[in-house]
Amino acid sequence: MNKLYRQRWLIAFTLPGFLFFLFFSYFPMYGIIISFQDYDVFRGVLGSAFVGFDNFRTLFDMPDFTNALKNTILISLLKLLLLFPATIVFALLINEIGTSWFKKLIQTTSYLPYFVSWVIAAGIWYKLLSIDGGVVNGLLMSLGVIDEPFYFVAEPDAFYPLIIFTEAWKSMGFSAIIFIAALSAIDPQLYEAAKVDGANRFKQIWHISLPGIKNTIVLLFILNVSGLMRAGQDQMWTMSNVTVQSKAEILDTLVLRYLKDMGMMGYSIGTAMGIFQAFIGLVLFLSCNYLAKAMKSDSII
Amino acid sequence: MKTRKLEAFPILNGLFMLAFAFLCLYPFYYVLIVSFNDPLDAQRGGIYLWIRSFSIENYKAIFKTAELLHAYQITLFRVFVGSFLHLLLTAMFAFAITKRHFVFRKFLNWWILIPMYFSGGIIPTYVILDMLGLVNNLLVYVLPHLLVTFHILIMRTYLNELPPALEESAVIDGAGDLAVFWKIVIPLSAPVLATIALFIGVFHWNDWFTGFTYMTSEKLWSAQNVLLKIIQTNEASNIAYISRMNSSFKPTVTAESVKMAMLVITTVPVIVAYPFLQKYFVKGMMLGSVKG
Repeated sequence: MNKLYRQRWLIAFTLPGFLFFLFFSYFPMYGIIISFQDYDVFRGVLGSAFVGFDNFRTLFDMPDFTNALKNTILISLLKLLLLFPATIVFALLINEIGTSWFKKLIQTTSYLPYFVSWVIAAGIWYKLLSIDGGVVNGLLMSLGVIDEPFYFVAEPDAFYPLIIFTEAWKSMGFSAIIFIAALSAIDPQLYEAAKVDGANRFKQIWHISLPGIKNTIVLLFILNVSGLMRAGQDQMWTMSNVTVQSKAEILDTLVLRYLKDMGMMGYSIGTAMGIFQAFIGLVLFLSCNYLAKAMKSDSII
Repeated sequence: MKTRKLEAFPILNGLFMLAFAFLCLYPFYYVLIVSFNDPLDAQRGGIYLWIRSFSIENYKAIFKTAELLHAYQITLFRVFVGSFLHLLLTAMFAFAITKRHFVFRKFLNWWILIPMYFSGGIIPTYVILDMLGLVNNLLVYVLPHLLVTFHILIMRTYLNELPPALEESAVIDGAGDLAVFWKIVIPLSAPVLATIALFIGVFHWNDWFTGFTYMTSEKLWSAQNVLLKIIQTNEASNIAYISRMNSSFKPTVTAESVKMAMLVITTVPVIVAYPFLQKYFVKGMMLGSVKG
């Protein structure tokens, strides 16, 4: 008791934090059980009737859900296959800049879009791509590429290219940081030696730069693959509109729609969706990590 | 031929990089010039490089619309109150769990680590926050964001690296934990507190999700929420929306042009803080990756 009294300030300092995680992390974790219930707001988490795996069975029969699942995987894969290599190439190209102030300038500029919210980014790009007076349509028309304004944001076929492009615009510069840092850790003597041996710039990149950041690439690839079930909630919610919704609906936005539009009817199903998503994410993470270990590369755990 | 081709590479690369930098900056510049152009003139289109007819009507319209100002006040409230309390609680918690003799140290380390990997998800969190009475309550902007495990870990690492002699001498002079915390630890932690303040400040400024999810009453929305609503509705209903907010609204501005001014106002603080942001976020990203 005496010891506790002597540490009373330390206890007082951590009590808010203890309660914070109890209320805002652990209680919601416990709340997961509503996915096994027919949740009723008036009976609460403790009183609602249990229905076993019924909600999950319902889930897999819902066209909404299968469509959102398909979109989630498609969008994530497109981002992974196009943007992941593009980010590495971007980092390699930045690394090739010889003048250090120019390199710094480009890097600093490339982060800027990362710090504004997706709400702002969507607002800006909606304006740039707008059909009345948008600069992109103006430019394309004066170049004679198109005769009349193209409604970029309302054309379902243009939606995925738009998503990939805006994602690159917003986050490629910032994602490249880790690769650039890894590249700067490579011993410059290796490049000197390669030059003496007559290796040109592309051979140097291929034989020194890329192998030098191999571990970083594998590590980030694992992280990216385990995020496959998350296709970018902020981006999808802000960049989409009714005309493209069937293409833009991903699991995260569907859960949000269930919460906002379906009232408490949607709570149990929506929670089941969240659990499914987290479970697949965990499986992906563990299997990628296992593969990376098998390849004798770095693993995360 | 071959050597000339190789020498062309730095030039091509430089040009490519310039194009990339232009692409990053121009969209912001474009919104800026449209927002300062006369709204009715801007409707004719064709403003790409500079302001054709200067006007501050759009900004006037925003400052005359009480609801828009109110939304910015809510954003400022959460940025300042939310970030301040976040810093205070993070520092207190991190300070306590660096004390090796603290009885609950081990337990609390686990207590904060588990939520880093597991979460209840959107709907269970909503259900709990609803039970706590936080739906349509301004406190929802502050309370669920009071602590972030990652920030506690950054602070803990920093405190562990402080020379222990400073504290020891204070303890010998008879200072208790409270005095050590306020008089020694807080003043010495300025750099790490600045880093965390930027992280959480940008989060509070940019977050639209909390307002969208927990505020069914539009009166309690933050600036990001109002902006999102304006972006996602079409021109005609926007004019209705803004004139409903502001009865003295005359069509000297268009909803589109007011939107541009709102985008500028909501982006400016980020640009002002940018020199610090980019420095500290890059550091934070490296910390995260090393730890991960």
